[in-house]
Amino acid sequence: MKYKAQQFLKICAPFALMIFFWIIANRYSGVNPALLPTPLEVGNALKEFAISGNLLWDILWSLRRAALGLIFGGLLGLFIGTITGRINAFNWLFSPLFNGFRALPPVAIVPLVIVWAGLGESGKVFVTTWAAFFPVWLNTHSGVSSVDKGIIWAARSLGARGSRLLFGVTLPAALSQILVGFRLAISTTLICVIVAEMTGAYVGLGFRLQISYLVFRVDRMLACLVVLAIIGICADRLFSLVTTWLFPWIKLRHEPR
Amino acid sequence: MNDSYPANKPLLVYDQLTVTYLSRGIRIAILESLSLKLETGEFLAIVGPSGCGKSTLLNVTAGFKMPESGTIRLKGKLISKPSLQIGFVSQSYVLFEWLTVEDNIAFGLQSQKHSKKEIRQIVDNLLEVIGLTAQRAYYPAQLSGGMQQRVALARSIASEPPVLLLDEPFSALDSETRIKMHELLLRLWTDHNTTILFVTHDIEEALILADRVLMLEKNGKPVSTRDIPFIRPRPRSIIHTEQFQIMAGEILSHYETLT
Repeated sequence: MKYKAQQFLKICAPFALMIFFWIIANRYSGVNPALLPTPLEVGNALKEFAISGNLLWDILWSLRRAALGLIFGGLLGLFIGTITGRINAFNWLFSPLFNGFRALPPVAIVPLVIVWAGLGESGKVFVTTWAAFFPVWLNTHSGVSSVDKGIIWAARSLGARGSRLLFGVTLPAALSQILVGFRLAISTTLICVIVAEMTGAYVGLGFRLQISYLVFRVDRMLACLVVLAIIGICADRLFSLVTTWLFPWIKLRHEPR
Repeated sequence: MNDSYPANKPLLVYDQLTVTYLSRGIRIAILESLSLKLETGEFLAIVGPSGCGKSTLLNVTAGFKMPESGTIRLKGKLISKPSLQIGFVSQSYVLFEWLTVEDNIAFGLQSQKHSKKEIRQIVDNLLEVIGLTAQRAYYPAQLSGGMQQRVALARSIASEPPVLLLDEPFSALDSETRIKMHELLLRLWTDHNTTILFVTHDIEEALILADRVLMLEKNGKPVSTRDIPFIRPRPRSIIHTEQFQIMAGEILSHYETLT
């Protein structure tokens, strides 16, 4: 219990310090209060935002777009990464192409997607799918293609071939790297969903941020950023909790015996 | 095993086996014209300087690599790919880290037509023999090196392969654990009447365990084998007998002159 309290304090202290300096800056720096609202004002904006019901809908829409992209892009990346990682011909054919696209910052495609697909949902999901695909593809590809030869040999001499070799040995052996890909994909899809919403949407956290900017409500903009930070942290924590629960052996490997 | 291969014929026959590898576009022989016969239930140790093709011999026998020329026949059939007929344990215990101890041991059995009950029975029995019944639900990462190697042994022997290949299986273990592993291996060997090919660089280990020692020379040049005369069971104290020391010395000098 005492340990837990200590941990809690450790996490809270930096934030408390930040808020402290924020208040000091408000009081004594002479910055225009319209540019730098107090923490309390940001809190009030957040409350208003929650009570109006906008907060919930914005969060849900943003999460929906991110999640759909993550699912489509993730599955596609997993599937194609397995193929390019296992079959040489596909590797030659696709990997240079994907590496070229991967070098592109995913948000750079947003204007083009708007021109092609308009401001509807499909365009946004396309952007998040695009963003999720590359990290998952790359990590699956390299994970699958670099599985220890000894593991494959052991499995083959134990009679595993075909789908059992793939699903029972190769993919589990590459899993920890595949999960790294998904983890990166979560953060890139969150970035892309916000950018896509800022450039044209009618609901979503990026949209809220953008209209707050248009009416010069810095308190609301900061409130949006606070929500985004919380979502980012929660998504990452949730991902690591779920994967540890599903695959307890991954964590064990990194702990000394 | 339930097939009709006559017991009086050798189980494993190497005929003029040559294995090469490519180095800067040049084919270099790592094993050259190796001919050898192994009986059912024989324990053969393979010694030789590093680079002599000890591991290559096992990899070809397991079906992981193809020979340049010559043949290996198991019960008269050509070996062309890995199968459950030939078990393999290497120096690095390549257990499946996503499976528990019991699932690792059951892996090979699940490739065959066994009922769940049968698998359970075989696994239970092997867990008992290797002394890891209490750790059956552990993941490999939770086990010590010696324990992991015991699981690897049990995993390879579970489906009763007629031939078991061991590539320096205990060289990463401390000497005390290694002695225990020797006892375990000998017990599994007698229980299952397996033919064993055991690669080691430790001559004492070879002499304590094997019926016969195969000495390979650098780059797989002509080879010779020697029978080990010591009566089983062999207590470890035989290491200190004169006969043992003389034999170890002979083998050592044999391949020291080659390097």
